[in-house]
Amino acid sequence: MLIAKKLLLLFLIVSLPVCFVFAGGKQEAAEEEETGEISVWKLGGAPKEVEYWPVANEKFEKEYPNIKLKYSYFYGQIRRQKIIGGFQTKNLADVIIAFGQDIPDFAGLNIIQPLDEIDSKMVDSWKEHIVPEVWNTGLYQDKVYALPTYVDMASFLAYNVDFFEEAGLKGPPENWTELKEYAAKLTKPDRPGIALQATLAPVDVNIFEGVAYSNGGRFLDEEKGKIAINGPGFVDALKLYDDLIKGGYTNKGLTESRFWEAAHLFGEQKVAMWIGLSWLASPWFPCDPKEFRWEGTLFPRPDNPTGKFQTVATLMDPTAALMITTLSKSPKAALTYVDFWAQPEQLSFWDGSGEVCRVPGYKGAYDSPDLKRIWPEWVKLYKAGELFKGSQSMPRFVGLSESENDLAKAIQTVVLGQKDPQTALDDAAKKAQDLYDILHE
Amino acid sequence: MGKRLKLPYIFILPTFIVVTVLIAYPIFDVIRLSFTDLFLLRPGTGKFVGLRTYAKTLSDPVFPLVLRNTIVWMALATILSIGFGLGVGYYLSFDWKINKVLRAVILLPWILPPVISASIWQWMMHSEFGVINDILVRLRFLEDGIAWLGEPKLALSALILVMVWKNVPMLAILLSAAFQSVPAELLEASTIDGATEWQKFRFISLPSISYTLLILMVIVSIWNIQQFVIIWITTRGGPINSTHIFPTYIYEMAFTNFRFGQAAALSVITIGILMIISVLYLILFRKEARS
Repeated sequence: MLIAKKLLLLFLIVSLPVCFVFAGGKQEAAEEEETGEISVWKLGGAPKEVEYWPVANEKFEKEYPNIKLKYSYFYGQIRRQKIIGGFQTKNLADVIIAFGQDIPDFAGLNIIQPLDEIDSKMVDSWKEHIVPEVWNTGLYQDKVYALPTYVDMASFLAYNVDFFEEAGLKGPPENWTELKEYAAKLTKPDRPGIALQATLAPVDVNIFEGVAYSNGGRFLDEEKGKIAINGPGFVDALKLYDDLIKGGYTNKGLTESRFWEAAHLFGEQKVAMWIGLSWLASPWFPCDPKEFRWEGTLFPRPDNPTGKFQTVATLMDPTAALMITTLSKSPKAALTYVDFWAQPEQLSFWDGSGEVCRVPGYKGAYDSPDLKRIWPEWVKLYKAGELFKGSQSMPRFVGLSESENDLAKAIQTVVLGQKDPQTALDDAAKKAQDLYDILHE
Repeated sequence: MGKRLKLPYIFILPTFIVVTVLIAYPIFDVIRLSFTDLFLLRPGTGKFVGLRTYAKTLSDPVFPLVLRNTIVWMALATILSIGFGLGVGYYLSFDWKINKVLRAVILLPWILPPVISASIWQWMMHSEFGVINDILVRLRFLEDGIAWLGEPKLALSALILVMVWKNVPMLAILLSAAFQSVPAELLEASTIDGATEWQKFRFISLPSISYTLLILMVIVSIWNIQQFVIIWITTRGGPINSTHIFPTYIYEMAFTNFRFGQAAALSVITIGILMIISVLYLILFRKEARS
């Protein structure tokens, strides 16, 4: 008995210091990685996301008490002004949550830094949770600049099932010819067949780009360094818009209707079809989508693609992508914050249980019963390997924002009947090419 | 004696520092930037290039349209705001019971944040579900809704009306106070002399508030020329470029195109226009004071 007691005492004397050494060592390592003060700017987002972010931040603060977090939310439309102004005045957050399309400009301006250069091992560990195609939307020049939490995809078509049945139409149009026929059949004196949008809002341009890319168009021929928006892929997509307008099948004020006004028209059953991004059941929907029967599907494909590039199923962009700025004084702590958002617990917010209008980047979301209930088609396509097949990132190169704005204006000249599609896009392409040459000489 | 001389300078020192840091330095820096070719996306820019950035800005095909829009916007929005403000202000200057309520209620458009005002008007003017078109169609003034903000020929005029709606309440309150300060004896004497209401307004009230009116015209012109939110939220300067005025175009140049040199040149031109207006008003005011 005495021997046993002595042995126990000896064991405790030997083992306790060993435990303390290991525990202390681990704690020191944790403290080394997870200390500091970081600021986070979230720019834009759907209402539920805006509410969710601070709630998750509280969890982060509990998990990482050594990291002091200062979080701010800003209106999405001032995102560039806020970030560039902050960078110029050296008063920029450590982590910014912005759009994937911002990456080339921000990387070119040296505002953001590659995440894999801070800790490649940690960044690599995120990959297993994220859908590979979605993961790629955070890359630029083979470096990981952002963690995408979800993507929006272009372009989709929402259609009113009751109106379709009333017009004797069974399923959605599958090609552009059918789309025009359906739009004609569905148009009534007080109800256009389809709602299009053509304001200067970037989303409206993205929606058009989705149509043009599906026709084998490209903004930029990357191999040749040539702007290609005046090629047949884009020109014929704009002709499609033009045909629908000239046929009298569209809403009246395309140049005053942004995506949410167009969503509103569809939600109020004032149009039979509506072209949008993947968020057809959007936060801008004026009523509960259950109030009337409607379906969402991919925007019809061209009968015979005329563009010279590979046709694209959808274009994707992450609009809540976490990036770390070059001004961050605690990049490790900032990366810990991004790492927190790369974990399934946070990413599962977009699995249909929290926000319903985004295409989740988290692989596990496609096993969620909520997503299956809300977007059964997405889950089915994902499981069959089709959801992201043939999709790619939205156009991205340095100088894109100016050129996209010029493209939006070119679309407006056609919509307003001032120019034909070819002339309008030739003019926009020339401007974009001059800019591209200056920036890439 | 020396102490007495220094004292005033000590008193104005805080103001001098604030003005220098918050106003003079930013203006100086914008002027400095305007003589550079700073294009954030292009490394190696930001050097002094003399007047080249101004030449580029002035030869920009959109510039004449922006200049024209700015002048039209400022002139019409100012004249209409002052005109309506004068009418409403004169009405509110009477000591009627209902005016006590109206003076509070009328301030609503002024109090509303510009972003909210812009969004409300955008929805109200929409061709398909806007309440304005709905009323006009019901009253049979229109057969079909008009895209007020979607038609290049109409959009600027529609936005001018929004601006007038926003400006009028504050102007009306200020002008009603000015009208109330007109000596009652003068008005009573003119009534005894048989002057009509219009004659009293034209020959007594209006001349009595001319100083206030001139000051308000300068202030409203400046309010209008620096307006950004109403236009940016509703049209972003579109359709095409039909509603761009200097502030929105400067914003686009800086934060969409990243051409800070050109944005600075446009800002300096805006400052120049503002200074011309201010000087013109001052000259007019001095003439008025002498007469």
